[in-house]
Formats: sequence, C-alpha cells, structure tokens
Amino acid sequence: MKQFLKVFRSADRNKTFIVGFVIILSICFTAAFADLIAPFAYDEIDVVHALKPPSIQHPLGTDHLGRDSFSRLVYGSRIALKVGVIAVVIQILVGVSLGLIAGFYGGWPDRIIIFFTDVIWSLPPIILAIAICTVLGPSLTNVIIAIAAVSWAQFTRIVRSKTQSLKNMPYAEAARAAGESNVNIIVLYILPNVFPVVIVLATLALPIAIINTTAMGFLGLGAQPPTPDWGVILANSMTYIHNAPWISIFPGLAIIYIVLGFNLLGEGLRDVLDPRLKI
Amino acid sequence: MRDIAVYAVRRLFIGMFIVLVVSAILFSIMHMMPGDPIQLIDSTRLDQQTTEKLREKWGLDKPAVIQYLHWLGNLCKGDMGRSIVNGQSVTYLLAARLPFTLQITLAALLLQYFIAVPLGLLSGYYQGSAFDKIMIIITAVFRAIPYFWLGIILILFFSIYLKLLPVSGYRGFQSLIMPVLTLTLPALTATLQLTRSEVLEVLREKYVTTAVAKGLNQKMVILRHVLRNALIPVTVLFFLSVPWLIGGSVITETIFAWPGMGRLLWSSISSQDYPVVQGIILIISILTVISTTVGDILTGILDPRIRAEMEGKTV
Repeated sequence: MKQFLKVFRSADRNKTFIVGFVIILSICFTAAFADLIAPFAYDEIDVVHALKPPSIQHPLGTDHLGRDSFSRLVYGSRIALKVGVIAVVIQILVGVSLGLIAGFYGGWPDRIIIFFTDVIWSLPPIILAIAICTVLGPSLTNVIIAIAAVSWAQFTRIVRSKTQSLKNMPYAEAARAAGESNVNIIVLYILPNVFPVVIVLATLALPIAIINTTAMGFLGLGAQPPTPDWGVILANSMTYIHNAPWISIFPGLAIIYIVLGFNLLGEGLRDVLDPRLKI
Repeated sequence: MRDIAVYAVRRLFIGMFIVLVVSAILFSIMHMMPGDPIQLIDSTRLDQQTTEKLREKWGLDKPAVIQYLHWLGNLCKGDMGRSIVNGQSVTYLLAARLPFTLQITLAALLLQYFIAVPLGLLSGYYQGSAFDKIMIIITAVFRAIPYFWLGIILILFFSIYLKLLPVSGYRGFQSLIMPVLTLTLPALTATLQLTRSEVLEVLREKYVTTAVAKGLNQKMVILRHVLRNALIPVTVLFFLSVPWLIGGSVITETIFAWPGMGRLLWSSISSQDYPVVQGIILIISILTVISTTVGDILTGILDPRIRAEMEGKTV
C-alpha cells in the first residue's frame, strides 16, 4: 500500500504514468457504463442501413448487418479488459508460484521448472496459442487459457532470479534462524519484496495479452460472432474493405488506445517502483 | 574461446532435446484433437470398410507412441510423412514454402535493424532534443499497433487508395513490400528503444569520459566506443526477435495470401492435416532454438564480462 501511495506522490513528475492512468481510467469508465454510452445494442441488426459511412446517427458508420460500429466498439472494451485481466491473473498465479519455488528451493525443482520455461520458449507464443486453441476449440474462455499458458514463463524467470537474491538477505536469514517454516518465509518475507516487480510485469503483460486475444479473434479462433470482440470485427471487416473501410479503421485505433494506455502505465510504474528493471 | 565452444555445443544439445520434447507434446496434443482427418476428408462418401482401410494405410489405427516413434525414425531419413489432405510429401511441401517465409522474415529483420539502430543512436545521443521526443512518441504509438491491423491499413492505403501495390499473392518484388512492412514496423520499436537506452547507458560509462578527455574526436568516440558497446544487446535482440517474426508471419501471410509456411500452418491446422502441422512446428521450433542459442553465444563472444561468466560456469 505504501508503494502505491509513493507512485501517486511522485506521479506529478511522472508524465508517462499520468497519461497511461488517464487512458486506462477512461477505458474502465467506458466498459463500466457501456449500456449508457452506446446508442445501440451491440447485436441490433438493421439491414436497411448496412455498410453506411459515419453519420450523426452512426458516428463510426455501420457494418454489413447494419449494426452500429461505435456501440460495438464500446461493448468490445469490456471483452478486452476482461480477457486481459483474467489471462494476466492466471499468469501471475502460475508464474509467480513456480518462480518462488524454483528460486527458493533450487536443486531439481528448479531444474524441472526452468526446463518447462525453456520448452514454452522454444516456440513463438502466438503459434503455441494457436495450437492450444485448435485443440480446445474456438471460444473466448479457451483463448484466455491459451494466452495464459504461453506467457507465464516470464514471471517465473524474473521472480526466480529475484527470489535467489532475496532468500540470502539478512531478514530472511533472521526469519530462518527464528525457526520460521519455509512457506512462512516465502509468503511473509520474499513475496512482499517480489510484489513491485510482479505489478510492473503484469501491467506490461496486459497489453500483450490483449493484442494476442484480438489476433486470435482475427484468425477466427477466439470469440465468435456476434460477440463484439475487436479482433472479430477486424476479421469481418476484411470482406468489406473495398466499400466500407471505416469498419476496418476504428477497431484498430481502439486496440492502439488501450495497449498504449497499459504500456505507458507500466513504464511509469516501473520508473517509480523499480528503475533498474529492464524488460 | 574453447570454453565458449563447449558451452555452445552443450546449449545446442539441450536445445535439440527440447525440440524433441516439443514435438512429442505436440504429437500427443494432435491426437487428443476431436475427430480424425479421414472423417474430415469426405465422411459422406466413405463406407465403414474403406475408412478402416484408410486408417490402416495412414497408420492411424496404431497407438500414439508407436506412431510417434515411427515418425521419428522416418525423420532421421529426411522423410516427414505425407499430407493427409493431398498426399504430397511434407518435406517437399515445406521445401517449397519455407523460402517464402524466410524471404519476408529476413527482409523484415534487416529492415528493422537498419532503420532502428541509426534512429536509436541519434535519439540517445541527442537525448532530450525535439528529435528524441518525437522518436519517443512514435515508438510508443507504433509499439501499440497490432500488426494484423497495420496490414489492413497498408492494403487500404497502397492497394485500394493509391492502387500502387497488389493486394495479395506473390507477384515479384512489389508483393514483398506490404508483408515486410507489416512484420517490421511494430517489431522495429523494440530495437529502437533498446539501442537508445543502451547508448544512454554507455555514454555514462567512464571509458567514454576518458576517451573524450583524451581529446579523441567525437566521431571516433561514437563509432569506436559508444556504438560498439551499445550494439551488443541489440545484436542479441536481432536473434531473439526471430521467433516473434515467425509467429507474426502466420497472420501476415494469411492477410496477404503469401505462399509461405505460416499460411500453410494455418490451413493445415484447420484441415487437421497432422503430418504437415507436425513438420512445420518442428521447423519453427528448430529455427527458434537455433536463433536464441546463437544470440546467447554471440553475447559471450562480444562481451568479455559475460564470456568470463560463461566460462566460469562450464569449467
């Protein structure tokens, strides 16, 4: 908690953090009040007004079924946030616990865990995610699982090396001398010190998870229509690119906006919490 | 230097073991997939007996372990099996497709390096200048661009609006431009940022101050001391970014109907063509392991401090 206060206190000098924070706040606001902001429902079909360019009634135009593009983008922010947050939380749970175990105990648990991270890293993440999604079948839940499965390793690697140095710190030694159990030392003394790094990593892992989700949606492996996932909208737009380019342009801008927000927030946090951490 | 060689051989050995494990995992995943390729080809026209015969012909009736060992044995002879969909040899299919993927991947890598390094160097050297600030904003925005969207925008601009470039397919050099840009631009920012931050770090080093104090001219200091040291991590990133580019090529090739391995992977996955998928993933994991290993070893050769560390570990 003290660290969060520190972030906000030094925030006036940290423009990156402020810009990122405002962007993310605006997206959270949009997602929370989507029902009030969006003029139409995301699946309201109006074939008479299909593929109409931006107008006063439809600020970003309509798609091939006459659905309002703006409303679909607004509802899409919910999906992007949901997927990003859940995927990253799973990554943290798996990655951090494995990193703590590997770093603290060393020996063969360490070797096995490192071997698994090597296996994960011997394939490009997106290809592994495609493979997993093909097996599990296309759906948003499976995309979340796939994305979490391919990206936990970076948490493990960094938490492991942090833990290796932390476990020899005087306070950890003191706790051991006082007869604390290993689990207690990890949870009470090491975890709190690993936490800042994990927060920074998580903020930077979120945008990657969002881009990968939209990529999967784009390939047809993610959410299925009529879900207003930004990647799905983009995939559909390819068919109408000649006569309705506006359907293609705006979802991309939405993705850039949210990814930019998280990147800036993450970099700002890194500058405050752990300036030496380079990712 | 000898110790580096030992280290390299050991790394490659572990790498190949990992490739084997990956292929085994993939093999079991493919076998857990619902349905089998025979049903997918034409289930309506095949009676029970023919289906059985086909399964036997492709070896699909044997247990997965036997099938895997069989596949490994043939692999050693350079035979990766035959495509279930069209009966072509997988080795032949890959040999025909791989060059196209390597073409755009290599072009993207080189373009990325030659654009990002000079810009990063200038940006770091003139830290805080207007140029530096513009570069920071541009990299932040570009890093947020999803490459598949960039592909669509390039098609919109160059093919539909300006009518300059072909939308898709392979028609000589012209067709290369958009896929390469799509792969490069988002990846470029990482190299630029890294070059910039390394240059900033090196500029603060004592040996740079010494060189300046000795009265060496500025160009010499930049080229001999700053650039040389700043490029070590950048060179490593060059190799580490190969897997990302290959991953990106799946979507890029799908958008531009590029006749490479990525699109083949995508179409084989949707038609459950096990042998082809298996072959492509094998090639991709070998490429990934080789490039990361080369990256690691190069760090050792270029940076004496890390070399000492590696030798300490292996001796």
